[in-house]
Amino acid sequence: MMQPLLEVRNLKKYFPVVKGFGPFKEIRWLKAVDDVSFTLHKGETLGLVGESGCGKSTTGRAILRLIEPTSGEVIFQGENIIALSQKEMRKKRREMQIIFQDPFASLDPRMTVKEIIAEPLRVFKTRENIKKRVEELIEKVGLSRSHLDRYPHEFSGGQRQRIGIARALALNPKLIVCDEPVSALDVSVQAQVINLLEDLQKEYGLTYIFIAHDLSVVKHISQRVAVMYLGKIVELGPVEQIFNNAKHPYTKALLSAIPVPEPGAKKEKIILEGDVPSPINPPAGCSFHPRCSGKKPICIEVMPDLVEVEKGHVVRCHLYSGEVKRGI
Amino acid sequence: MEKILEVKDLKTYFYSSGKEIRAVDGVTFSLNRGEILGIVGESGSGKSVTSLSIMRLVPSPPGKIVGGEIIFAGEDLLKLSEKEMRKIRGEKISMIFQDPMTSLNPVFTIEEQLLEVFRVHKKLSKKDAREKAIELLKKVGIPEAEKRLKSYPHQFSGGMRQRVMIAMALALNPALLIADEPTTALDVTIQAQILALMKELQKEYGTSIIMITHDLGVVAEMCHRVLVMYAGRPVEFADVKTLFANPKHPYTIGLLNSIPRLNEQKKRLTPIEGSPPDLGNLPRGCAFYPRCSFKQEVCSEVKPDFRELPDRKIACHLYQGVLDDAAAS
Repeated sequence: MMQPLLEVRNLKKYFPVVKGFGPFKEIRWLKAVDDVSFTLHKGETLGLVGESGCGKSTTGRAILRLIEPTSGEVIFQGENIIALSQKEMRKKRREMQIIFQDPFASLDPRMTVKEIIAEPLRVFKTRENIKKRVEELIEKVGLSRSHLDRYPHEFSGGQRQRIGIARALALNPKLIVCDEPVSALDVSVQAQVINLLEDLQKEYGLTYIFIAHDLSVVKHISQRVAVMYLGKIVELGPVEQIFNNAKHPYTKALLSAIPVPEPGAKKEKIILEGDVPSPINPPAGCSFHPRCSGKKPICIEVMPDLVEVEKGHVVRCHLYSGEVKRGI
Repeated sequence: MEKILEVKDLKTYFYSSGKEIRAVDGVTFSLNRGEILGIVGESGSGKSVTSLSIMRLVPSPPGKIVGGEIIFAGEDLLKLSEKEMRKIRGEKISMIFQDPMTSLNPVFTIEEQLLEVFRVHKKLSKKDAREKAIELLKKVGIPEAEKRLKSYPHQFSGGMRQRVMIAMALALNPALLIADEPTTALDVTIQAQILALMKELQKEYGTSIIMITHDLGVVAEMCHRVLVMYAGRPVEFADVKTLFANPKHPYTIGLLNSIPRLNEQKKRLTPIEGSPPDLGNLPRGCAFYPRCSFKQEVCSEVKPDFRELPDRKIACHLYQGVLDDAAAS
C-alpha cells in the first residue's frame, strides 16, 4: 500500500475556559477537537462537514499547526510534524497551505496583488524569478497580469478568492486546507471557484482537505467525507457511501435537512430537536444522544467507538457496534 | 385571488460622492393573500433594498425612493406620513432579518423587547402583555418560556434567537411578513427547524410572506412564486414549478445550472462566467449581457422591458420580439 500523504492520529485540541479567579479559579476544557484520526492519500479530497462549533475548522488549523494541538500526531510524508520546532515547521508550511473563507479579511488591504502573491516566495527566498512566478500564478487562477498592481478592494469576492488561491499555490504545496472557500461567494461565482480548485488539483496533483457546511458542494468535490459532531468524527467513508447509505443518525438528519432545489420534491425530513450542545460540557455517553431518535440506554452512558460497517466506512454509533446488536 | 401587495415600478436610488447608484430600478410584482413569494438574487441584486423600501426603512440620506408605488391593502405606502407608517410597521407588515444577533437589543431582556410590542401597539397592561409574550414564545417552540423571558439575547443560540425574532414579528398578527435571509446564518439542521416553523405558522395565521434568499433550495421548498432579480431589476417572475422546470431568462438558467445537486452524478459545474455587476458602472443595455451566453447585438444597447408572457413575466430581448422585428426589417 502506498504511504499516505497525511495521517492524523488522535488529534486533540482543548481550549481552557477559565471561570473565577484566585482560589475560586475553575478551569474547564472546551474540547474543540477530540480524538480525530484519518488518513489522506495524494491527489485525494477529503470533505470535512458539520455544523458550526463541531470543530472542523479547528481540525484544519491544528493539522497545519496554526493552532497548536493539545495532543496527537500529524504524520505528513512520513514525518510527525507536531514534533518539529517552530523553525522547522515554518519550512514545512511551504508544502501545506490554507485558503480561508472570507476573501475580504484574508488579504492585506494595503498590499497590491503582486505583493500578496510574492510574499510567500520572498519569505522562503526562492531563487527563481519572483516576477515571472507571480505572473504565471495570476494567470493560472484565471486573472490577468493587468490585475497585479491593483489592491484587494478593487476586486469582487470571487476574484479575491482567486488571489488567495494564487498565494496558496505560490510555493507548490502538496496539501491545501480549504476552509469554507466558497461559502462567502455568490452562487454563480461559487461554481467558478470550485472548477478552478478541481483543475488545479488535476494539474498539480494537489491534496485537499475541504471544510464546508454546504453538503452539496462537499459531495461534488470530495472523494471521501468525514462528518463531525462536537469535536469527534461520527462517520467517515467514501462519498457515495455517506450520501447514499449514511448510517449515523446525525448524518441522516443532516442530509435530510438540506433544502432541495426541486419544487414539490417529496422528501422525508428528519427534523432534529434542540440545538447542538455546548462543547464545554458535552453530554455523557454519545454526545448526540439528546437529539437522537434511535437512542438506546447504552447511548446515555458510553461513548461509542468508530466501527467499520463497510470497507473504508466507519461509524461512531452503538446501533452498529455490536453491543446493541447483541441486545445489551 | 386577492392581492395584498402590489409593487409597481419601484425605484430606490442611493446617492454618494456625487454618484447615483440605482439599487432598485423598476421592480414590479404582486403578492396574493396567503402566498409565499420568494425573491432571489445575488449580492447587489437589490432584493434587500426592495424589502426595506416596502417597510420604508431605506436609510435616507443616502437612499431615496424616487419613483413607483407600493400598494398595500389598497393604500399607497409611499404616500403615508411617517406617523401613519409607524402604525403599519409591526401591526400590518413586519420583518425578520438575517442576523438575529444584531436585530435584538443586547442590553434588554427578551421580556422587555417582546412586551414593548404589545405595550406600544396594543396598549396592553404589563400583566396581559406578559401572558401574550409567553404564549408566543411557546408557539415558536421555545422551551420553558416563562423562564427564558428573563434571558438576554446572548444567552440564546442562533436558532433560538431567530425564533424570538419570529415571535416578535408575528406578535400582532401582521398580514405580511418580510423575511430577509432568515436562515442564512443558521446551520442546516436548525434551518430545517425554522423553515418548518415558518410554514406551520403561515398555515395557521394565513400570513403572506416575502422570502428573500439566495438559496434556491429554500425557494423550492417554501415558495409559491418567485421573482428573480439582477442588478436592481426584475428579470423573471413565475410560479415556482414553472421557474425551476423551465427557466427562460439566461440568468435564471445559469443560476440553476451552476449549483451542484445532491442527486446527480458528478460532472463539471457550469458556472456563469464573469462577476456580478458593479452597480455604479452598469452597462447601457441589459445588465446581464456581459455574462450572457445568448447575447445579441441589441442587448448591449437597449434595456429589455419586463414583459408578460402567458406563464411568466420576463425581461429579456430573446422573448420580446425585438429580435424578430429587427430580422424582419
